[in-house]
Amino acid sequence: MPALIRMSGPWGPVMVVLGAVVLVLAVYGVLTAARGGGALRVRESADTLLFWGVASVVLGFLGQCTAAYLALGAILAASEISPAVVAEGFAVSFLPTLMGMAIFAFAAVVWACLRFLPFRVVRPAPALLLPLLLAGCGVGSAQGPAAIGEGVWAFASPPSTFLWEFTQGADGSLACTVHDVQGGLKFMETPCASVSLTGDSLAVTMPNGVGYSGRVELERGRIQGQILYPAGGGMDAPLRWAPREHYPTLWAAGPEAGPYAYQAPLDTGDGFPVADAASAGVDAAALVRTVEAIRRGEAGFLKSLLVARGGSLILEEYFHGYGPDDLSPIQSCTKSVSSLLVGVAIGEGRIAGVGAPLLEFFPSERAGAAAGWEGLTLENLLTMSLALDWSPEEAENLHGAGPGAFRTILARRVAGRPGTDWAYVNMNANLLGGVLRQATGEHADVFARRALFEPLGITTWDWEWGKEEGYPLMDGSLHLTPRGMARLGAMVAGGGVWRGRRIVDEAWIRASLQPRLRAGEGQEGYGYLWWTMQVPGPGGAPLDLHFANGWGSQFILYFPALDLVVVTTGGNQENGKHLALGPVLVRDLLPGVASGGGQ
Amino acid sequence: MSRFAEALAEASSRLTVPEPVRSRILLEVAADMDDLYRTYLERGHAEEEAREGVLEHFDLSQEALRELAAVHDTPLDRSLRSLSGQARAPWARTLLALLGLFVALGSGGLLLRGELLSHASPLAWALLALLAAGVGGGAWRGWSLRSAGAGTLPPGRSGTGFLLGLAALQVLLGLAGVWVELYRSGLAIRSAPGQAMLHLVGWLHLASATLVVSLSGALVLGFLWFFLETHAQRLQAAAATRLLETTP
Repeated sequence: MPALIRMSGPWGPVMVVLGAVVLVLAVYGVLTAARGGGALRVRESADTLLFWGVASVVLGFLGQCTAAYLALGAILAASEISPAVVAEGFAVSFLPTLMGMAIFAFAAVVWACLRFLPFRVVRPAPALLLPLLLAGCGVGSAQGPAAIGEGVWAFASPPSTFLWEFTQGADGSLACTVHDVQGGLKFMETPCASVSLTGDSLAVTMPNGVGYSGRVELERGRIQGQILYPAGGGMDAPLRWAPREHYPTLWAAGPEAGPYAYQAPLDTGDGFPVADAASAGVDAAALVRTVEAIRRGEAGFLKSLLVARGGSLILEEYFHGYGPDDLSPIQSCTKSVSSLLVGVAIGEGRIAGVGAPLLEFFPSERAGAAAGWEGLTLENLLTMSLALDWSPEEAENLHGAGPGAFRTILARRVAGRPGTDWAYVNMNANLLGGVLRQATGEHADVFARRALFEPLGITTWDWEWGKEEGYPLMDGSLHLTPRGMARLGAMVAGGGVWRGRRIVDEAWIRASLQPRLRAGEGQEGYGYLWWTMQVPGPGGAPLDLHFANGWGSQFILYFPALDLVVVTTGGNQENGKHLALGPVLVRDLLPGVASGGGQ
Repeated sequence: MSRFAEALAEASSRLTVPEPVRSRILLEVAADMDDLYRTYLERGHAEEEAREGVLEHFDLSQEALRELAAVHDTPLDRSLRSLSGQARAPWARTLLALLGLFVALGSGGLLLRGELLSHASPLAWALLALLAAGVGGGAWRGWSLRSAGAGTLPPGRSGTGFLLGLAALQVLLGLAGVWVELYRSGLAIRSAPGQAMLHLVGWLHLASATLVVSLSGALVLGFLWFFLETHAQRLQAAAATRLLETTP
């Protein structure tokens, strides 16, 4: 109850006063009736009681309108309107009305007792009503959790609502994960670097150095605290407790989900063939094991899993409330798509070949190119071996499109051995926007629509974020649906052919998937903006894997020996589980593909 | 005291209606008697002749009193009386005054921020005009009651009913504004379905602002009516008591 009053804002105490008045009047009326106080007096008491009950509803409704006005004003001022935040604001703004209605209901029942029941039976009425009142108070007092590890603690910062989830380890240590929820859907999760709870004092540190310090008030269901920035300064960030059930998309398959049962994907009439697992030579039990492992979180936080074989989709599952129409940022899978576009341009004769000097594509900017650029080729760019003098931080964090970005890149001097020294640099990939524009006369997104997306039947996509002067960001801002990604994967698996129509030259597909350089210190190789590696196949034999690799588990995985394409979208950017899917596929899915028959 | 005090007291003893109906009937009958008495005097009758003429002429039979009671004790009158009776006790008046103050300060604070009206339906300006008219009329009525007592009251009336009418109009206009804007939002959503959420939240925001103005205005007028009506009833009761006094 105290939490309800607090959440009702300034109208909470008003409702409490009115509730107390009604309660006292009810007791007075019942006692008057029980003592034979006269019909007129009893009737007047009853009418007074009803009057204050009605007043409670009217004032409660005014309180709701006031609270809703203020809350909706704040929501409209935010950059994005989140249905979840709107719903939450409404739920809270309804409290004064609900309290007013509860007071009125109580008053109406007592009024009816006083007006219409014989006096001698009026006496037990309060005894019957009091348990109901106490039960109501009991429900209200359940606003706070018994422990910090129950439920989640929400902090709204439009367009996100950050849900802090605390968990107690077996050794008693406290851990915390912050879920970023946008538009009612979980977008990302970030585990806290450290958590300490001493008495009611909470201190949390995030991996990026941002801290949180606050006082836990369990009975009030809140944590009063501040976000503390590493550079100094802070921001008030009160966390409000909510049952986890209020955010069903925190669960991979919803809180009430039973065991997973395999179902072939629906034929939506979008031109993507669908097939049953068995008819595609895949053991459905293997798909079930894979999906259940994902539901258990063994692959971190995945939003979708699609499997295609022989050009047909055989599994399409979405998690955490996501669906087939949701566009996902495919991150660095954009680079692999860019590689396909270069292949199409070469196939159309617009680019002579990968040996073309890079500076040929930048006639306006070449004057500012640093020493060594004369020898750099398109192949060096596609294999991430330009060997420019980027620092590791710049290589990871610098992004940009358009002529300004081209000049920035061309100004970097060659510091290593082009074609030999591999270094993953996001910024370099953006030169492809200039290459395609110069070669085809079209910006990459326009060219992609004509040469790739429309032939593949990809109708829903977005490549606007980060665009500069018409040049899209080539290193990672393309948004596709999982089915769109699967179409790309199936086309690559088909050697550049999609449903009988050639989209990309087969020679380019082969060339771009072929490992040309070792990617850093790991086991992965790198082709033309496609990754390649070997994984343990059925029986432990090495199995070739080529893949488009987007940060946070956005994958288009292609196993040529199995003619198998696996697509995922995810939110594993900050939780260290970007590659957690790998062991799950090796353990649960791949053996089922090998042993399946019927293809 | 009235020169017809004895007759009025006798009629009062036969009136089986609650206060303030009884006082209002007596005040109306006394006013009519005084009018007739003055008419007799103007026609040249002596005072005693005029008084006897009035008593002879006036029908204070049980039937006539029943008819008067029926006029002054309609179901609507009974409902309003029951409502106004809630502000009779000092604690109730105090609580109502505090609630009225809370509403006035809360909504007034929002109004003073200047954004409430710009966010509300255009009808909110009409609501404010109604509120101003109601508060002005109520203040004038309160001042009249305070300065002149029951003498300014029309017989049998408190002259405060217009406040309830304006309060009801406030609520109706507020709801009308909300529904008109819902229709306009519907049109906007039809032309831009992709912006449905924005239009819907925008409408809810506007509806909240309009209802804050409408309900606050209605409540303020309602509170004003309570106090003026209770005050008028007290004055009427006092005037009726004075009428029945037989000694100066």
